Amino acid sequence: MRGGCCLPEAEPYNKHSHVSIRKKSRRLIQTLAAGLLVLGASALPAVAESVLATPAEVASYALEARLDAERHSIAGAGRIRWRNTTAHPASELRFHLYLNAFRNSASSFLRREGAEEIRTLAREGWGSIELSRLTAPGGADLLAALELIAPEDGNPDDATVARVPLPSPVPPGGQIELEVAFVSQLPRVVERTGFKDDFHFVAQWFPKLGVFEQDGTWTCPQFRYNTEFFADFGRYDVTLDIPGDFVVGATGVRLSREPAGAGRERHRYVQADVHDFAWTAWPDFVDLERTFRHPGLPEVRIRLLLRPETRGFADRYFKALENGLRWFGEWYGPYPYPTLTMVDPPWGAGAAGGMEYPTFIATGTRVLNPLLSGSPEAVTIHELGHQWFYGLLASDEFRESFLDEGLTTWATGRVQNRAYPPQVWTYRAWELPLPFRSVRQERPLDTSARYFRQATQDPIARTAWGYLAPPSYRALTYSKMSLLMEQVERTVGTPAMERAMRVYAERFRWRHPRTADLVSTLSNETGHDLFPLFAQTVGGSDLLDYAVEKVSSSPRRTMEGVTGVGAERRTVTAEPVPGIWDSEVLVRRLGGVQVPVTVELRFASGVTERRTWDGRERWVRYRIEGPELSAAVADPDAAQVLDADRLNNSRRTEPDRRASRRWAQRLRFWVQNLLETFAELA
Amino acid sequence: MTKAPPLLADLRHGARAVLIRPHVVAALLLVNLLAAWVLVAPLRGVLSAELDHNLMGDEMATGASWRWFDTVDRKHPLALGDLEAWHGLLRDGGARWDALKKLSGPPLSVALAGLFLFWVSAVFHCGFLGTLAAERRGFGAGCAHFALPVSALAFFAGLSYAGAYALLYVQTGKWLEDWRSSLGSEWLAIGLTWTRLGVTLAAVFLFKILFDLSKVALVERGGWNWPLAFFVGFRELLRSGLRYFGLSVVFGLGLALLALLWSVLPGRWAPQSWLALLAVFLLQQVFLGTRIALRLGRLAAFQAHFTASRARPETPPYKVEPA
Repeated sequence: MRGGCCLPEAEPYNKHSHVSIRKKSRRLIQTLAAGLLVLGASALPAVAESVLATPAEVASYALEARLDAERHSIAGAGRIRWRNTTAHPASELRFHLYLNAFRNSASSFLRREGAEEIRTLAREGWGSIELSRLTAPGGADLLAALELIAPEDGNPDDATVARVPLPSPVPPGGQIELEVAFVSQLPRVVERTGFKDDFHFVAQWFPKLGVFEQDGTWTCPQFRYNTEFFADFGRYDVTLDIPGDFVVGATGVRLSREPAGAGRERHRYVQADVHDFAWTAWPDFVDLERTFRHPGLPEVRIRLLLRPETRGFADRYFKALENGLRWFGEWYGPYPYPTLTMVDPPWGAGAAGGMEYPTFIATGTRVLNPLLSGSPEAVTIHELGHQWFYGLLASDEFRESFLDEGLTTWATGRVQNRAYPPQVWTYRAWELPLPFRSVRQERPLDTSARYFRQATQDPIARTAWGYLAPPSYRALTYSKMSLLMEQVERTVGTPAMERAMRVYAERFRWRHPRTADLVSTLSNETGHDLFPLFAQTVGGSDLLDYAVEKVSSSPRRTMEGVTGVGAERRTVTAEPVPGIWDSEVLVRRLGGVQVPVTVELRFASGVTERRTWDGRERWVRYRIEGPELSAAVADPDAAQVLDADRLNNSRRTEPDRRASRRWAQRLRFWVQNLLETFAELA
Repeated sequence: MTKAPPLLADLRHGARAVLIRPHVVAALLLVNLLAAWVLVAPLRGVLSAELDHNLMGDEMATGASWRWFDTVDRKHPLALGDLEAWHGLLRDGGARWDALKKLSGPPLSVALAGLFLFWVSAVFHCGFLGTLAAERRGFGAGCAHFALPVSALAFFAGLSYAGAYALLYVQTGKWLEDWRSSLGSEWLAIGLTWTRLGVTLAAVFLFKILFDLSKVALVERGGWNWPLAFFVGFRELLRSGLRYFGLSVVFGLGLALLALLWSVLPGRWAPQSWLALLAVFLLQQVFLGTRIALRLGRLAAFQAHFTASRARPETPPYKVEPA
């Protein structure tokens, strides 16, 4: 059984042992990679492998689905073709039955502390998926032998994974085609899928194959809180039978739309080279289209499906998608599909929003959202970014969710920085957004700052369900990884980073990259050994924190005291030595993470001098003879964005009280007004 | 029958009453200032530690850094306390009781000081009204004389506000939570929140007028019978509610105008010298003083209308023929 927390934490630094951190971290990242191999990861590909033009077609689906809009259920049937691309025979298949996570409160998804979804589901409808037919070629029934398993937690009541023994193994290079029929009951939208009134957002709705890894084991975890998805590429050919008054959107290209009788229509969507298929249907969608064109990039037909009240956001949505298609395309290779559909779910169905599927994304906004707040631009660009980091670079979202969420968060900030004005802090009071124009938020430093509140809870390297708590998952998977990528960019420089990320994106397009693939590509392409940094920050949970603890500078004086011996003994008083100052700077490493840091010495004359400290010891002291020192700054270029406390990164020789006086005065004034409000009520 | 004094006359009376008693405004301002100083004093050390020596102080001397606030909030959780309850006041769901129970540090101090100021201000209001009443009293004597009965009124006023908030805003929010998410439009959901807020504010506004009238009645009657004062106030509210509402709206508009003026003044004031710091301080106190004056002016206007309407002879039930 595989599961639980799979990756080792970084070893703590031992100050008595000066074994190179580089050696240690290499060992750690090797352990990390080995851990992944043990867990069923594919063998790490050689970085010199050529770029694949198209993905291997492993899991393909040809399905017909009929939506019962009254019962919110889907009757599906069709064929599933699976190819064994490994060197091992496959004696069984494993399927995800995601909707069973919502069939009762005993599922592993809902059996957690504070599962708020239960109340909604109990009131408005549970979800489930039931297979009614599963046959092998020749008509052999596989359903009787189907077994529900719980590989991670052993929960006998969880029904989100099924194991199907095969009459005869599928040999390496062989394939199998199954006939399948099923009924999916959608839940009230609680977690990315479901219905609200006549709105239907249909994701993870069919029996979906897990991933048969190169070592001959299946990656097919249960559906747990925080988990997203992982699947092989294939071709999806799906015909949807929907009431005629519904507006329909789905993964891929709509090849046909024809009447199906009884006021219904059949919509056929086809898309190759993707690893999932989701769709939506709602009579009230505002359906808008625009074509994205940019020199050097292929045209993409963008389709927006908006709720009527966010019609006014259409232009902002289009611009966000166009900016994303442009910059992601230039940085990580062109978006390869002809269509992109974006859905803004209706009010009360927000749980369907903020999610990505191939060529099909769900975002969302509040009806009151000023441009300066960065919403809905951030979520729109983020979900689009997943078309690369999840869609094309199909990493394992169960075990390495940071590879798609972290990279996408970082890349989203980069697009926003290119295309939008600075974001300002926006407070929402009684639904009314109040942007504070003077309080800017730098991306991603400030927008990812939630990491610092959860910094030591977990290492980033965890299964999605293995974090201490949801805030820890979000803070580390999204924010810390984003900050780490920013730190790498600031360390190696933007041109080198862009080059390296382009290589990573092209080399692992249509594949399942792992952490080690990212680190080795970045290291090789930038010429910086990034293994130590990743080992400490991805594999470990220590803080990075450098502090200038002491800065002093005083005019040099001659010695004071008694000199000479015998009759020559004299008492001398200290005399100033003009032009020479004795200065001292003490820099400390308060966190466990060791990285080289630049220390800038600022002199009163305006001259600056930089020194580099390797950061291996706990502290370094600089003694400077010369001009008067006014301040010292650790990491003056703010390259170490993971530094947990930037306020201790600099120190002056003499205090400057302007700011503290100003803020004390402001604070007192605010409190005065608050107290006066109480008095007014009296 | 004498004609009821026009709204303008009440307002004029209110303004005049405050203008000729600046010492009362000054006294109330002083109490406010001292309380705020005491509350902010513990934070001065944090401000000094996090601004005087590091170079981010340069940015904070002229602007505002989100990162600075976030870092200080993380580094000094005890100094800033848990602001969740305060945030809750501004959210759709309202301030939750469990968040209120977790109040600590300066937010708790400010809340307690606010409650203290609430009570003290009620006493001060009676002192001020005493200087206007037919049976004149000095401000201090009025405060001392009415301290006990007005405390009872203030207690029930506070209870009424809290009850209105808890019932009309928080509890309805809980009751309507599921319905809210099932609505067909976000605008409807926002409208629902604003309606709850509006109804709550209207109730608080109504209670505020009622308890102000009770204070006026208490002082005018001169005794300690606060329940009777409450009923007199209640009857007055029924009789001339619209007039008191109008007076409150006018003074509310005055307050809004003041806030608008303040917001268009150079809001990013960044005094770089002691002199500039002093100038800003004085301006701030002028702003607060004006707020206090508006508060007292409204009370004085209430008192003017109350006494005028009570001096008015009742319409006789029969026609009086001239002899």
